[in-house]
Amino acid sequence: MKKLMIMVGLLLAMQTHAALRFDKNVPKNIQDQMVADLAFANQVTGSGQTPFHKQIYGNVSGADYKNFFESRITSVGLSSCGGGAAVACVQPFFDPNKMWLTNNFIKFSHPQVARLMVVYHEARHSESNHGNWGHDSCPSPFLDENGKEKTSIWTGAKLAGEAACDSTYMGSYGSSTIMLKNISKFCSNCNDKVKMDADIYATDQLGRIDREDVKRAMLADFGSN
Amino acid sequence: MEATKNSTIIRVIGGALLIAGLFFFFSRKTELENSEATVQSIPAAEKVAALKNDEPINNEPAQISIEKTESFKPSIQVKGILSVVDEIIQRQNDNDPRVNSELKNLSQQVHEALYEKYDSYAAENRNAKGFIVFLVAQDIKSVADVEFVTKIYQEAPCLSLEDCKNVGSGDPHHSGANQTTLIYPQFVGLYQLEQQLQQKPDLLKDSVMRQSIENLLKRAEDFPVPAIQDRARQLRRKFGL
Repeated sequence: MKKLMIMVGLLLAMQTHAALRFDKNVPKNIQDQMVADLAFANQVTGSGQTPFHKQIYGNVSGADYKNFFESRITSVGLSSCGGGAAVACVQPFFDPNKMWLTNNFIKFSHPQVARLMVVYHEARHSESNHGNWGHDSCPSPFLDENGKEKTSIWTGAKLAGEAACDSTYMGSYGSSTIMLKNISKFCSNCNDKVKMDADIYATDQLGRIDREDVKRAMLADFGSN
Repeated sequence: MEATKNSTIIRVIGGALLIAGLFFFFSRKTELENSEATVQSIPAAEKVAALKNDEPINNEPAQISIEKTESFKPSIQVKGILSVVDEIIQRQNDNDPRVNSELKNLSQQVHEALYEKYDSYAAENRNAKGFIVFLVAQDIKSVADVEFVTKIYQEAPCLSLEDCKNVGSGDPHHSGANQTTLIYPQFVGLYQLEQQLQQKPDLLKDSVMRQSIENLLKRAEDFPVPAIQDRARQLRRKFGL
């Protein structure tokens, strides 16, 4: 009975994304995963939100996440997004309201929250009226709180000079960080794994904020309410 | 005109009969399913006892049969839990409510089955492996649990999400997310260890447990990824290990 209720709940949430148009060449398994991931976001309920979250998304609620996404992205296509390890992208000069997914979207074994973070990050880039929230080049040197050169967490390669930073909490890294931190803190119908994942991936994204005053403001925001 | 009217009446009656027939059929099917479910819900202990009654006279005495009953129950429970875990992983919808209910307060027997389950997943299945680490480390019950988590820091690091044995092409834009996933099981281990030490500080009062946790952090500091090394050092400082 419980399984049936879970399925019905997911199916109902998935129906609300019937409006998202997929190109015919998007494989069904990618479509299904995208719809399921967005359906998860659409059913989130929260016990609160931080001020920055309120400013960008509204409440920690499925209705507000749905509105945020659907007011920016109306269709989904298949693309290599420049190849390599890309999962998703937007090409705003071509069509600002279209998101492109790669085969890595289902091939890579990301936790669901990580996939969601990527698509919400990309949705933010669709905002042509805000210059698509283009990224900063990470400063040189790019130092952490201990004065050490910030490096890629895995390869140790320096991030300095890469177009992989934001100087505002409103950009794609900042806004997706804020979304995940709020899910971790306030989601009342997320299980412990999802809340843990949201915290882990948000912490990583926070590292892409290249202004210390902005980062301090974000940390203060996470500690509020 | 008359023929059309008759045809309509026949269709209406036919439709009503069909609906009634379907109603009868499905209600009967439900009765049968309920009776089958009743049969299936007979506890395992009673089934074993029923089998025992058919056994030859010179078979084992009653006490051993009772022991068999006791061992029969846990293996059903373990299989049931593993089946739920498999289902959640296959569906890739992580927010399954059973994570916070059926997959909480797992027995040591289930934990041990999860150690083996971890090895059954391909190295590239980072989410599945991380999920298993989460299930064990969210409720550390034994030194064996800590030793299981310690082993993940002795694995060869996964070099790319396409193929753990080979470095793939990068994507600076989302390199953070990709690289976090590469070390997701290792992140989860330290994350849950911190939670456990905050919730159950008495874990460190047992000298054997304390030593095993210190060993875990040492292995994590030896793991060749700066973010894991840093996190392990932070936990050492935080808990005085």
